[in-house]
Amino acid sequence: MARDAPGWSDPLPAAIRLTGSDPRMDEQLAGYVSGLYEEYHSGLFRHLILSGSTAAEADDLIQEGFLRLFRHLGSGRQVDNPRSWLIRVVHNLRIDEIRKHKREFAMDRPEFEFMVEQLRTEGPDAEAQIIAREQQARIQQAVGKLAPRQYQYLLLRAEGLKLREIAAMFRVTVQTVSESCAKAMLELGRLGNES
Amino acid sequence: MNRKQWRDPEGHPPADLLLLHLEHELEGHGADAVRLHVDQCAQCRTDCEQIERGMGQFTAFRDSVVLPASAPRTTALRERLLAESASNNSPSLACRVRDFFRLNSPRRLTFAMGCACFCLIVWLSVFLGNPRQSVYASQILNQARSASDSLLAHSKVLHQKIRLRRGTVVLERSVQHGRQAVTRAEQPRIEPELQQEFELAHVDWNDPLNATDFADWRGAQPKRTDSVKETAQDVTITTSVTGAEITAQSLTLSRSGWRPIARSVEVRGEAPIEISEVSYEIGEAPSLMPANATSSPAPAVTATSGAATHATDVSSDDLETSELDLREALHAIGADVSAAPEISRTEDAVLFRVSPETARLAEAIRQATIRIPHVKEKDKQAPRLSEAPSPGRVSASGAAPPFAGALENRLGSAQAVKSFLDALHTRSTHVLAEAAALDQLGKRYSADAIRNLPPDLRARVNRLAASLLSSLQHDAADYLQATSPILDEMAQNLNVKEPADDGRNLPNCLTWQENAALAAPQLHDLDRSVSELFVSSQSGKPAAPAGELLANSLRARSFLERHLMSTCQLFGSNGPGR
Repeated sequence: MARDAPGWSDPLPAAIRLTGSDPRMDEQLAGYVSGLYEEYHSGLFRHLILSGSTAAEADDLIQEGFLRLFRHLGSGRQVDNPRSWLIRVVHNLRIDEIRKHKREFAMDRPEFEFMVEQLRTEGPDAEAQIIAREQQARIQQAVGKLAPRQYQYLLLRAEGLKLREIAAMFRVTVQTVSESCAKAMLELGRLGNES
Repeated sequence: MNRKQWRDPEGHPPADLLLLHLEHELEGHGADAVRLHVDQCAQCRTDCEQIERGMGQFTAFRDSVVLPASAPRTTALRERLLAESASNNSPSLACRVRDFFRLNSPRRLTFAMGCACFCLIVWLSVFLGNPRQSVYASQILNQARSASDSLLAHSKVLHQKIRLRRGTVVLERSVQHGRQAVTRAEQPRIEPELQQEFELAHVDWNDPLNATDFADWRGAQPKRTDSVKETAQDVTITTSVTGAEITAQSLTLSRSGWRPIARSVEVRGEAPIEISEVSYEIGEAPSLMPANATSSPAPAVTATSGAATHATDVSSDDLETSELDLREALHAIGADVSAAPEISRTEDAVLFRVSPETARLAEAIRQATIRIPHVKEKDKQAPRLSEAPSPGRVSASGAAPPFAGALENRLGSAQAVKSFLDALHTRSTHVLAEAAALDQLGKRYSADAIRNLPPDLRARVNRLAASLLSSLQHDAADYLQATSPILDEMAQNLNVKEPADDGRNLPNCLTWQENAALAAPQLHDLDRSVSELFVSSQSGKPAAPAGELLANSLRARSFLERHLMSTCQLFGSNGPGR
């Protein structure tokens, strides 16, 4: 199983400790955070879109997340794993945004219908493409049937978060996350057997 | 840390332990036991492979979804970070207070003197022209201009829908910034008086939220006073001048990307002109077109003056958006359920009629809908009358309810029965209203109708439906929870078995429209049967036999539990043939 999903770099070599009282240090910190932004933008953007945000909302949330990271590091606090930290922050920002606008989501996922029309299908020949499309349709249908929490857990797991990190984000036990994910993965894995 | 212990070494470890094993998140003896078992057990190894394959399938699905185009706006972020550090380059107030109490006396005195100097500087800044604010305002305007240039350099186009308000006159239009910005020749006509004021205030009607124009006007004022007001989301620069026709102007910039989002022009002796962004979208610029090409349609302009609306070129997309704005606004204040709105469309307007039960709700609806373009309220209806009598009040003319006595025996007193039935009536009325609202939405936005909507509107309709469905599921669950114990007890006493529900042949997953259409009549059936069991026949006809009513209630309950309460709801991810 892939430990790190594409779109994310390897964890940082060392923990970051910086303070924001020196303007030169601020400049350095801004450069560092901007570098992380370029590196992590695509992963965060994808995560937010697949969680149901619009492109404009996702862009704003990502900028706000990096501003929080800048403030956090600037105040001398430490971030061991910026990737997990950022994903947690943008996730919480999104929930705050939903609450602020009094929106409730029964399904915390986007409508795949318009995305699926654009699904890329690759294959050497027409028959292989048809098979690939059918398999994609089956998986899409299975993903559509996942409970919202299961979908969120899998999405975060696919972004490379550990089960205990996901459990901490949702304030549930590791066992809850593990049971939920395992059930969903077994269901999706069976689809592979059918093809 | 995993706390679950695998306590049955004879059997197979459960799937969650296998996943934790695969993720190397098991610790201690449990980890060794699971690892040894998996090494020796072919079935568990197959399960592990299946779990890994499942994750692979999900990741492949995620990667195959084509995302909207978006590029990191690094320059904008960097400028935002530097502005943040410039405005917050001193230790926090809490740290200063903490240090103040830790320091010895002479340093404390120095600190106090520092505070005094700071106050003096602030006083001087405010009363002697505020040069600091002026410099800061210039810096912010420079940032806004470079952000706009950066957009241009990256071949992006900013589409903005803007609204201009002056007194009772409201104009709306769409503008573009970037390589495809409309030219001055395409400028739609506006009143000459307004045009003159625009020229004085350096407002370009083709791009009224332009930071460069604002900066030009500001630069041309010989004696001006600037002030900068900041919030977490935006920054507002206000420049006041004395002795001129335009007495003040302000420009509000979003902190995210330094995009101008509002502008206000104060004209001597006139109502201020307020221009604000309604929505925006950043897209890829198509290839450059010849200078004389005008393939993009002229911007739609809508003018509203008081109660009269003069709409020109209102597109069906505009009306679709307005209708959805209206539905969302009503939903946000709960009026879609409590005020039974009727929404209809004409060629150039969205009409609605509501029946609010209180004056407060009527005012809330007015406030929520007044700013939505193309939306008008039809004549008000007379206040709604409750359709059904409260179950707490037994109708004298009705037939004797079969289980009224049994309910009183169970609850202990007539007063308890009345409270129970009143609470049940409140719940059922609300649930029925929610089901009706969702059903109405489902009829308006059928699967075919949704498919024809643009993706952003489609997503908004589905979100609205999801929100309504979520409330309905929650409240219907409460209602079933309140009625189930007593229904079960009566069924046991009468030896009535739960009949198979009408939806047993339906698939496990239904679309929200299907669910809405099926749930509403089932909820009505349940409510009617329960009322007749415990209260009286609402129709005046003799009540059906108790066993039949009970069977109806159980059948409807079973249907609702199976379908409405199911977590499997389809929102666009329809399966084949559905």
